[in-house]
Amino acid sequence: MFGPAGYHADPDAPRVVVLENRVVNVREREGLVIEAEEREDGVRAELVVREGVRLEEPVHFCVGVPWEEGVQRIETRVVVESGARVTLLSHCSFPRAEDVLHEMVAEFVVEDGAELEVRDVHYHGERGVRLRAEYELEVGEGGRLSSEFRLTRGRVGELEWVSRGVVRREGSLESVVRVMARGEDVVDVEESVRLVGEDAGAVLDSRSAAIDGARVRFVGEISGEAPGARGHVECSEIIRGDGRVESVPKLRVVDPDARLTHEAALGTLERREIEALMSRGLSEEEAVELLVEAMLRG
Amino acid sequence: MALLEVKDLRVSVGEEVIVRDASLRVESGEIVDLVGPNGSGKSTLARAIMGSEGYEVEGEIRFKGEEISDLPMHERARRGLTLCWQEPARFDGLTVGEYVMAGCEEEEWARRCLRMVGLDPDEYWERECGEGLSGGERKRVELAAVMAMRPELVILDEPDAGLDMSSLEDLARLIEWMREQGSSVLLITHSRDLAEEVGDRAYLMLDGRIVEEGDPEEIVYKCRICGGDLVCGAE
Repeated sequence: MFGPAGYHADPDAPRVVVLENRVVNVREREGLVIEAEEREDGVRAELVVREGVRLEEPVHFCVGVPWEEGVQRIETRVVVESGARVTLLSHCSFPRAEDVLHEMVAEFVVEDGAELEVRDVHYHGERGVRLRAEYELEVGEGGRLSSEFRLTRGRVGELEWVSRGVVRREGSLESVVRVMARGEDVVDVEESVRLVGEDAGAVLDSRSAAIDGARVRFVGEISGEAPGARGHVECSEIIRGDGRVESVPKLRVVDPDARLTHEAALGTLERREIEALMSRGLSEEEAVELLVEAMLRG
Repeated sequence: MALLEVKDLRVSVGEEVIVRDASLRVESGEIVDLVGPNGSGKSTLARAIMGSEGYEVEGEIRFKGEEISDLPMHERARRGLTLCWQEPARFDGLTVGEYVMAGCEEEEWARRCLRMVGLDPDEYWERECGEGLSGGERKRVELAAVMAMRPELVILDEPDAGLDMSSLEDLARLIEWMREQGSSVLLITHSRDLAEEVGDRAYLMLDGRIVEEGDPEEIVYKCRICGGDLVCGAE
């Protein structure tokens, strides 16, 4: 139904399915409450995992516009109550997009001792979409939020992504971003995390490729505001052709007992790797794609 | 008609001429040695035949009768010509299975090729080519990837470098097996044992020129008296 971003194979899996601005399917589970409503200007969906409920099977959150044009606006709130646990598989697919705008405003609340894992896979077709996303992330004491955003197949279009997080005592937040941009694609990702509680931790890990004129900007900022706070920003970008990349790790230490680090690498693909694959019969484009996909997988 | 025929090839980088008026041929089913001292231009000749970027090439390269000098590297490969690179790249992130399958459509055959180079496919298939492999293992994977293509002609550029004597014996068997599978071989080597054991004919290259063609034992001898650094397995 939704193409290469994937779709749940199990028709009984817990889920929310939103087609453009219509809610077409909701399936709950015991301890998982989903409220989804259609509004004049989009869809609002709230998912709550009740206190202490640990869902083994992932919850699918499928959104997309399956036709050439459209505007999709989604407001989401995900609350994982104390001691609860859930994995959210988000498939955002726009396989035939020519003129599609996708706006997402999301709030993820991970309460004390709770765990939320988000895997967000996008497919924007061969022309790309305009995607504007704004995330507010809150991790309570001892809570854990790990998220992964992937857009590595097809085109991007224009991506504006802003994420702000707050992590409390002994909580942790990990964000992984993998994007392959080509041609006219423009990617602008800004992530910031405040470590406000003692021994809070965060990792911001970005890998992207800017190929043949694409522009990628990644800003990863961590602010250490409590004793024992630990944070790391890692950016690894590949440039090919006349792609442009700006990679900005930012660290702010407010508490002297916080420890923050960063690592950044900008580079091109090795010619001899490309030629080795070409000597097996892959065209230069195919060789680059295989190498970039491998790089972005990690 | 020769499988590969190179005539009066001149290869340069900028002002520097590395290969001068080189001519050689490989017939279908043959294993042909190319020996010579370090820096004599053997690897440059191999890369120029394969179509590597960065060289200015004049002269003729005919593969199965077709002039391929103007073809990009992948088109040469699709016609059945390939090169086993002297120093395999790292390919960070790529798995052994992905690399071996890059030029191959049959997974079972690719797995068999891994077994032929002494690597258990069940153990290595999902392993990363970069950090997951030693230099010697990377070399074996490179050989397996070449064989997996079922090429009509493979140029082996010093496949013996870094291998011990027992591996050299395995390598000789492997090269013979390649021939049994339908691949002809142009073998660039510094190993006297390997050159003499598997070669049907040999060329000697000195200072960018191919100066002699003949029986492998005779060419190996001439290479040594010309200051060539051929070694036997025990040295």
